[in-house]
Amino acid sequence: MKRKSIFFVVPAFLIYTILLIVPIIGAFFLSLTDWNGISAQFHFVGVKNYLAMLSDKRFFNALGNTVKITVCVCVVVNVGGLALAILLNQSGKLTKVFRSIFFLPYVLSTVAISFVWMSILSYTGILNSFLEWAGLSGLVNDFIGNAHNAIISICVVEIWRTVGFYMVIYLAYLQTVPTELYEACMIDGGSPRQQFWYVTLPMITPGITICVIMSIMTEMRQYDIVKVLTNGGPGYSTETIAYNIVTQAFGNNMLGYSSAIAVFLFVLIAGISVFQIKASKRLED
Amino acid sequence: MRKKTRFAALGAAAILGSLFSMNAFADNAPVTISWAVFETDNFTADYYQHIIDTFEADHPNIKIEKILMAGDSRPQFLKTMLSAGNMPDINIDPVDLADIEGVYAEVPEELLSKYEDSYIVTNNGSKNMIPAYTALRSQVYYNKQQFADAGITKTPETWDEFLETCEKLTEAGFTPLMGVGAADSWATSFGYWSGVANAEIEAVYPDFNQQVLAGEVSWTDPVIENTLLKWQDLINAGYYHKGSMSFSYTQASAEFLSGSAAMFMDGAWTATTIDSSEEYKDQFGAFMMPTPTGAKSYCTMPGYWAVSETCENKEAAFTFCEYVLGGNEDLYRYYLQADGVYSVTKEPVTYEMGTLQTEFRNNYDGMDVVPEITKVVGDYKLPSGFEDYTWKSLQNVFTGADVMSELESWDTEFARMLAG
Repeated sequence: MKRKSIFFVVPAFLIYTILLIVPIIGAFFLSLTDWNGISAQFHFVGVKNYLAMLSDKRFFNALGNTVKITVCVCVVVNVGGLALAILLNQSGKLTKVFRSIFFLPYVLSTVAISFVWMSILSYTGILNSFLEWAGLSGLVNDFIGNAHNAIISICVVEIWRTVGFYMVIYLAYLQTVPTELYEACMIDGGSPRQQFWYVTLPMITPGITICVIMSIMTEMRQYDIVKVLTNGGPGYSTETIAYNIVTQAFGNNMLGYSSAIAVFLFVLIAGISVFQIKASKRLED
Repeated sequence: MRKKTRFAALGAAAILGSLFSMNAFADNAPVTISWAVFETDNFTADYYQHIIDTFEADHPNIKIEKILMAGDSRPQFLKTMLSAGNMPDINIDPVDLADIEGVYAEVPEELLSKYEDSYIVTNNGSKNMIPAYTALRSQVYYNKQQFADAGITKTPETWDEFLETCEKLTEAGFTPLMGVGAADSWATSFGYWSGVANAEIEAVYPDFNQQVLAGEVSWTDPVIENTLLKWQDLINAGYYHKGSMSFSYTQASAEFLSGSAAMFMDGAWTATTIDSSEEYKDQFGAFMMPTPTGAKSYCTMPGYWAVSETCENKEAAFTFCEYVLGGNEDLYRYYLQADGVYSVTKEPVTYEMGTLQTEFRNNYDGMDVVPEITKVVGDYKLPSGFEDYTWKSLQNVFTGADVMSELESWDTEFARMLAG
């Protein structure tokens, strides 16, 4: 029986290995070479690429931007997603409509929505035109042409795009909380705030873990919005690690070096995820 | 018995297979060639379709499949396709990959013999690019009405006159210069770099590429620093449109044409766009951008095509290249005229130029042609990816970064790319 059951696992194991494990090992191997990604020849350079990373200002700039975007988006989409889920976890006439509206941006093409946002945030775009029309000329700003504003704009677009997705996950977890627990809390004189802290939050902790990990993983790999909205600019002020990896690999023909950055990103995400899971388990216990 | 049947079946299959293949050969079954192209206001979908239709009408056995190169960096697009094993058969803009062994096929000598010798280049000993055209680079386009309204009767010829022009335009309530921003990093510095910085550098270092590659000159050279500081002066003086950094190239062009700024340092292709527009025709002029030291020269950029080494029907691919790039003179004329570029065939192919394009071309009369540093092909080509890096860095300069720090980063990046 045991031997037979192994056969059921084999297809999934093979697919997982070929599509995930092999590329990761491949990337690690490439990170130790000077391969340009095109020619048949390459040389083993040891940890040279990793040492080069340490003196690469552009890499650290990309790392800093990635951390900024991740922290900002992760906090807002989780708090906002949970808040929306609580609001929409009630039966009402328009509840389903609102759920769909909030989820809609997530199913749209990221590239398409980035172009739409570009036309909104451009200096002569819809937002500035509206501000001028409303007599708020003082608020007219260069939302994507200025390094500081551009990072905020990227965060705003990403929050708008993903908050509905996390709302749906939180909603699913909220619906698994037994109503008896709320009733017991109410009988014990618990206020709505106490219900949230002592019933809802502990019961949806696994959901929070999933959402936080997913949002961290998504934002650490942020590429498409940056590519369309700012192209990493002005200059390289809004470049993220993923953008930097693609540029080094396909722009500068340094696939070995870009693989080293990719391995670093993998280790970073894995480390954060393990830490997050352990912390959440302790919280659940 | 069963073995015999299997052999018979295999034999029959082999005969049928060979018959089919012979039949296909006899019928000259159509082959499909993929052609990587990019679209602009001048190079439209209809434009490419006309080229394809004309070719296919004369060559019914060769089908051309258009592949659109998306994004702001065509070399990056091609490298991605190459890495994914989907390299298009014919590439426009192959320069960045041409010095990498095994990417492009050697061009037949017979085909190369049709082009002027000065345009034939060798990449690591291989003649793997077909000369397609030569293009003039950038000048300053100006809005005639806004110049007149600001009381400017003559286009500037010196740096001081240029500053005076900017000042007069500002006083008259116009924005002097249009700029391009983040999403199209190439366009932020394109006009100033190719029109001013290139002339300044070439005036002092006529063999700049050789020298910088040999380590005899660095990017932190005072000539480059001073030229970029002058550019920053224009930006700091508020002469550029406030929203420049948020505009894509298309947006900036549209804003300039609609009067949001009086001047735009832009490429030669814009002259063709304006000449062919009923709305903007005759409203704009062009002049050579004055340089701070008075250095006067202009650069041209040669354009090439190449056939991928992975192409299964190289003969058909070269047939297409030969046909479009001179074999069919009318089609070659059509190809050149669309973007206002010029022929490189031994037998020159000319076309009737519009008013602005003629003015643009005449502005170069009596000036020396120098290489465009970042576009040099062949042995003195800068490392792949370096130009992209300079575009990003020049955006930093535009947004106020310290010029010397940026140039120091060029030296670092240049050394890293050369070593890599």
